Amino acid sequence: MRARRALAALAVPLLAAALASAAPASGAAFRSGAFDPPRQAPDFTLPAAGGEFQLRRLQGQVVVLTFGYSSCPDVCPTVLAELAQVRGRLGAAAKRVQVVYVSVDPERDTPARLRAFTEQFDKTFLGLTGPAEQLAAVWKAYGVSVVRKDLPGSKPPTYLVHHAASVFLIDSAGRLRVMAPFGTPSDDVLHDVRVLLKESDAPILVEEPWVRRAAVMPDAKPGAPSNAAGYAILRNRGTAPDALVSASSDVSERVEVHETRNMSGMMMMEKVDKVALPTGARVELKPGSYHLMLIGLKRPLTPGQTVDITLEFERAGKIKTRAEVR
Amino acid sequence: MTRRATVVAAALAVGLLGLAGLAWAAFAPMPERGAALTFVVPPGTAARLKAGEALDVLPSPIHLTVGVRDVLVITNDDEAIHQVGPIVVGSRQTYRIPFRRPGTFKYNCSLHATGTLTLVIDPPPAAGLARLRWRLASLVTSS
Repeated sequence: MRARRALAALAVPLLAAALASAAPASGAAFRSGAFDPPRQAPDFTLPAAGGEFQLRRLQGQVVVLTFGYSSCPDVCPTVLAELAQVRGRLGAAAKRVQVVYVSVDPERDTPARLRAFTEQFDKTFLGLTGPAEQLAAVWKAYGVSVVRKDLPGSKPPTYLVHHAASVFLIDSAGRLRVMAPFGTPSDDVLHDVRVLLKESDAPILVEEPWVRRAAVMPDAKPGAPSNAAGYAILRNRGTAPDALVSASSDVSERVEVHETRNMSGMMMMEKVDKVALPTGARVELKPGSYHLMLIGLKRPLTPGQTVDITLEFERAGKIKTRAEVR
Repeated sequence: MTRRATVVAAALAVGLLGLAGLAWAAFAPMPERGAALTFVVPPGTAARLKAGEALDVLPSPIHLTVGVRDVLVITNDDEAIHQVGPIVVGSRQTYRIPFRRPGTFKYNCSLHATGTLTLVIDPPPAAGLARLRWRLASLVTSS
């Protein structure tokens, strides 16, 4: 009996020690909710003054996308006032940020009414409305729930629209990076917009990196070294020419830059010293062209995993990127 | 020393050690950086939902604690896109959100039978009984 009590007492410090070893979260650049790996933001078109608005055409700018309606009594004015404040605090960089406000109330929000509403907060805000079914497709793509609630006894009869008031941040390459739920402090939204602006300041951009693992042959010996190919889009938006000169990754012995060439019908793969990136260039590392070879994989790659690859450029130096295994 | 006295002394020593452990659990500072509470949408979830299976994917409310376990991570390992509250997570994509302030958030959510996802962000437990209770509770939930 006494022995059992003693054993129970001993168990407490052991368990306490086990509790102390909770793994800390890894450091993240964003303060709000971020997607990893980032994917292209769902594109949409809506009617706009002087033609049609298309989200994709805002590439090159950081887009702050949110949803609401002009008759909103409480939530929307709060969100828009905070976003106006965020834009104000960005100073000159605000020119590279576009706030887009999509209506959740097609019945009452005419373009003129929506503009009058958004302009109260910031003249640059872009309010978008349109046919109900077109708007509903945009709500669905961004997971914005919209529920109409009639106000009983109101004369004339009126209604409220319950809606998610999340703020979406889309980077200059058109990728959805952050979803900040309603209630995220505006300081955090400002911080995350600055992260995206800083990223787009870099002259060299590495976009949509991905890795394709080589097929595993049925006759492959266990433990035989295997390779994988890496792809991405490289863009030089700087004022000086640059070039990709090397790459490395901790998942493979080495990484080489290769080019697949069609030599009179025969596909040849050759190691190249560099991939030139003149000013304004957009070079795609893709199957059948320039690509990275991850040689001698240290662990098997499975689709859905991510792989860190560091690309080294002549001028821009090393740029770390996280590629998705497909 | 008699055999009985040795046993008593050993039991006392072990008891003291236990008390020290409890005191540690009640007063030791909380870890400096928050840990993540991770939910995974397993492969095949969309197919099972389509087949009419009632899935208990997520608890409600979801409790997080500022400064302790204050990062919510949702990983979608399914082939299909899933929506959890206001979060649309693509196939093989992860959404990670840290919380720094206590509060309660309610979102529409089709993955919950009640139609609502409730997130409760609790303040960090104060030293003493609250911290001891928190450590014991997290022991139960993590095992």
